[in-house]
Amino acid sequence: MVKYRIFYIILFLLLCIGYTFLPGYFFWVALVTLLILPLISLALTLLAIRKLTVQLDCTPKSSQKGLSSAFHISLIGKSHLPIAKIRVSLRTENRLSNETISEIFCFSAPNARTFSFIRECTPLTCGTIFCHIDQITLIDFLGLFSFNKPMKLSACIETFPSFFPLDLEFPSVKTEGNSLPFIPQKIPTGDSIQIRPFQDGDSLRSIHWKLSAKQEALIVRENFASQNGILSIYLDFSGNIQELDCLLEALGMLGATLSAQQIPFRFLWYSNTDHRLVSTQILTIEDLRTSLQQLLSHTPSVTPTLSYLSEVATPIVIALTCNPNFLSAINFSSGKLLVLTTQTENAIPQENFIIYRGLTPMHLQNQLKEALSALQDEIK
Amino acid sequence: MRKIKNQQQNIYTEPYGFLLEPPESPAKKESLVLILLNNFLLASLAVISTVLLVLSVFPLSIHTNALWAAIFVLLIFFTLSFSFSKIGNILIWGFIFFYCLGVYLYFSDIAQGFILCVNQVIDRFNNLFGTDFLLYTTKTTPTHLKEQQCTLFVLFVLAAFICLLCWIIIYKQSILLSLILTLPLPILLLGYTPYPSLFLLFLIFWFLLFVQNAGKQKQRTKLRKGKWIHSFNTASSTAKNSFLWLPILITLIVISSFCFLQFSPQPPKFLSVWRTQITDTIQKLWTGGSPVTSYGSATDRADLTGGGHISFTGETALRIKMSTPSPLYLKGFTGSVYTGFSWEILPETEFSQIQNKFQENSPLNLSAQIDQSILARHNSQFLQKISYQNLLLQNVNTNQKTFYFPYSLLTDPHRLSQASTVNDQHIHSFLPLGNSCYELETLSLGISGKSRDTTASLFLENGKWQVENYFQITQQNPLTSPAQIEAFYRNPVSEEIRAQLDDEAQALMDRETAYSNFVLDHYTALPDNLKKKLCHYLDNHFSEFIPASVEQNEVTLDIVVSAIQTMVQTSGTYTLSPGSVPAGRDFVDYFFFENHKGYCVHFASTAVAFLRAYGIPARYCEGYIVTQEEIQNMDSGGWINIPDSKSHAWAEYYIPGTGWVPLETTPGYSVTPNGTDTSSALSSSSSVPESSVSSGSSHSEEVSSSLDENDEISSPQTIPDTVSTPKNSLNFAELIPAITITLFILIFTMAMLIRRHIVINQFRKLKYEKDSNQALLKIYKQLSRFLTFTQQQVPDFANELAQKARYSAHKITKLELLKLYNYYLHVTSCYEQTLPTWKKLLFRYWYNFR
Repeated sequence: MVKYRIFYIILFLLLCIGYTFLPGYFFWVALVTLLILPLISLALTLLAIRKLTVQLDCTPKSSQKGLSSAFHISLIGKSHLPIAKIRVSLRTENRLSNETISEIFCFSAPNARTFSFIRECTPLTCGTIFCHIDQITLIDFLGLFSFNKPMKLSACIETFPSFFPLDLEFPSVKTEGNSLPFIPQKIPTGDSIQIRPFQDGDSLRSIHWKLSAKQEALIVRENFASQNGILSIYLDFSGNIQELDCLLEALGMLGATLSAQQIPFRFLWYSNTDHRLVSTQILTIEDLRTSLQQLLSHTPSVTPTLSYLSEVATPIVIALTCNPNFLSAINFSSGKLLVLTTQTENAIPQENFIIYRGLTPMHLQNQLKEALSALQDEIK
Repeated sequence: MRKIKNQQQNIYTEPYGFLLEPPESPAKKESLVLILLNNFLLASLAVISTVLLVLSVFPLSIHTNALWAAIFVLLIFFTLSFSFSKIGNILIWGFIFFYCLGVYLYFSDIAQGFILCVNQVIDRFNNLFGTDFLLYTTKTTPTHLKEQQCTLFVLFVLAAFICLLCWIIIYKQSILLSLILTLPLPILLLGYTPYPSLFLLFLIFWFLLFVQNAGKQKQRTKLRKGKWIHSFNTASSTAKNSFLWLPILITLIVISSFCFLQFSPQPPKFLSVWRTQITDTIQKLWTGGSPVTSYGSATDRADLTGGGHISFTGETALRIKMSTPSPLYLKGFTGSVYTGFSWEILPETEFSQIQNKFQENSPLNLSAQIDQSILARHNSQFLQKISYQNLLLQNVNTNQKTFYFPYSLLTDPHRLSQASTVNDQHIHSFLPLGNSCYELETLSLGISGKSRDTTASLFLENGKWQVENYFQITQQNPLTSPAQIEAFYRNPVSEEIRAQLDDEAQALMDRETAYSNFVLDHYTALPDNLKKKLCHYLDNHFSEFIPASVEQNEVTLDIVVSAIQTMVQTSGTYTLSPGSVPAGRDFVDYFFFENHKGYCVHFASTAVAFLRAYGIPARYCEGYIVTQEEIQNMDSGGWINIPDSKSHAWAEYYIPGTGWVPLETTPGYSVTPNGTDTSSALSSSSSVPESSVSSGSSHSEEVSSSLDENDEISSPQTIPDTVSTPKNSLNFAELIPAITITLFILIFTMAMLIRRHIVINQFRKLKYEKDSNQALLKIYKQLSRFLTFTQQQVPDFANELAQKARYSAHKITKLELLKLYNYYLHVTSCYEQTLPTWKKLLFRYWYNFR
């Protein structure tokens, strides 16, 4: 753009000088033509960009790690008139990894009617990859005029951890007066139900439809019994993408295993955006998927969120964290805590803590088996 | 390689969470027919416009139909050859083979055609530029054979030209090379073609070329302001766009041609003033800051307000070589419109009223044409008496844009190289820095009305031609009333005489009559206030300057002019420091009625004003005078050096049939142009009685004293020998060492720049190389070279990448390649910032690291 404008100005100045010092037919015609040409180019471009619309789509919308999805960007115009160049400002971000790539794509396009392009994206970790078109710039043939069309279009690809159940049988062990930790929960009674307004991430099944209809707002019933039930999985939603990805994989496997064996559990994590502890009852894989969908659209916390672990009041808690050093400062005395961490450093364990260090994506399955076995042994 | 927002410093870090592939655009393949048509159109435009232009300037005797048919076939052939790369090579090699075979078989015919064509071109060139280049001697051959040979030669030249042009336009698609090949011809030849509209064809071609180029871009990736910019060349429909643009361009050019060219392409007035100022400034810089004299070098206007003090350096301003050295006036500027504070040129719109009468001719040499064509034709004795004078002039330290020319100019100004006439006033060079050397021819027949009358009388005595009736003789027509002046100028040639002339002579007489009328209409204007004042003065005092012996009804043009000459000469004192004219005051008014001090500009302006007030067409002139002094100091080569002190201003008045005649009104100046002694005018002024001087004796004393002063000016200041030597005659041998050193430095610098350009370009292209492994190894080699130079260690990731590229079966990805490439750019950039300037230059231009 700048290059063409400078070129035009230089040409114009040269012709002016030529016309000043060598007045005659040549410079006169050239100067007049040079002055008129941009006006024509401008008029053509204005006509060409009329009724121009932009579409952004993504297929497939949900992907797995290593499998590519494609963003389709299409400019649909009504005109056959030429536009020399199209510049698309594209922003791709993965909130989980807190990575943003801003790019500008310059295409030489004959006219708006036929223009479209595909951007393939391969997720390498879990997370939601958003693609935003911030702006589309259409440049005329002479490169002198540009027209910005501000856009607020976005599409996303969701990548979940693999929900691969572990080859592990949870024994039906009875303890003092309580139901066994890995026995399916009964349907909660009315006494243990609390009513609250709907929040993002709440399961549709938890909506109290009758009450919502009366109050004309979505009301959710929350089962206290389950919240204060037997098993919870707490995710410390902070740290770098590599470690978080490993923890999410662990979460996926744990969730799949528990769901496969029809063991309900609570999934808890602290939302740095909403500043609240998000707690979801997980009964099936779909519940876990919905819950993860909500999680992955959030940015991880900069600081560890392990301090909220003390609010979880179930006898058995599995905590997934990459900051085990913060465990020493936690007052957790309600039951057994299994800490799964990617870190290998020594942390000061409390009496009721079982710490499994050094989770790696490569050996995750075996490591989880070992950790759960250790937990079972502890419970026994 | 992409930049991550949170890691601004490490530009070569790639994202962890996802991988983005380069975008793909499902570009549609363009129709082959359209591509071929587009290529054919472009090549045709370039070839046809070039051929038409060349043939219109240099008409060659060739078979035109055969030529155009061959051009058409060649265009199709080369369009196909360069559009299809696979069969193209075979076709081109085939063409080269047959071309060589053709040259071998028809060598003698082609050579003969070459000689004939060159002869025709040289002949035309001689006609155009007045040169005298020799022609090749050729044997007499039949015309049809000549035509065949010329056509054959032109065809062979054209075949090579079309091949080159198609290669550049279609195969290379280079706008720069196309411009280099096609731009010089129209620039050089457009001024000489009878069809300037051919330029439109070139315009269409260049714009189409530009439009096609504008839609293209190189495929590349670069980082700018934290954003990666990927450029993709996805459009393949340039041909389609060309066809879309073609009617638009044609319409545009037709509109601009027909609508805008209806108006004069001459620049507006303010542009002329700018031009003058700029060229003067450049001139000053060019001449080493030596001051250009305040007058004698005006181009478009003579400013009368600025000259409070005039000084001269004594340097040679002009050099002249004459076949018969004689004193003369050299006119450089003619002021036609008096504004009260400047002399301006006549607006072109005014001159256009008479321009159609002259067409290709100019009023500047009309009188000489009449002398030569009419008088000489009708009297052989007169022909013998006409003598021609050849002048060679060289502008040394004066305005290079001005052609200084004498009266009785015979050379047609339109035939002068790089010259253009400013209406009927003067001649300018249209080159930005002017034309320093030019040749003129004059007709030495005498320039004053008196001399013409003398000549006329001569013929009358011979009795062969009644020349005294040819024009209204100045001595016989009293000019005492406006009606008489009107009659004198409106009908300079009587009908009886006109009827005796042949057609050509009648045409010349018609021009003379028209011009005489034009002159009377346009060169008698003055500002109203001044005119009233001067007329009032003339009414009261004019008779005082007429000799007592002259009756009222005997006041002819000569007597009027002589009286005004005396009136002005005695009106003030000559000084080079007259002081500035007060703001708002009329220049002539202030000088004549109040200040009474001035130099030639004051006297000349006043004389013109008085002549105009009387009703006689007059103009103000600036230029140089050549006196006997300069002629006596002529150097051995025949050159007469005219110092800047000989710059001068004078008045001129018009006599029908004779043309413009100079009138010297500055006290002490005396010029005898072309052998005609104007001292008669001065002597006639001396016949005016002392008592008749209106301003009294004091004026006379001032004049006499001023004449003494003028002795210093008109008599000729001794010009030092060193000054009189023109700058151009510097010994070239002295400059050889300096030129050699400069050339060596230039060549060395150019070589460095070219080497750097090649190395950097090759390195940049590595990013796009198909064999990414080889490309990475080359980048690694360059990185190692740099790190060795800076005594640093090669980073591990670079070593790993190099090992992968060298030994692994896997191909290096684009990301890896860009990672190393950007790392190299990053480290070299960081290192360069720490260097001092001279080391930076070495770093860039000697080691070529960046």
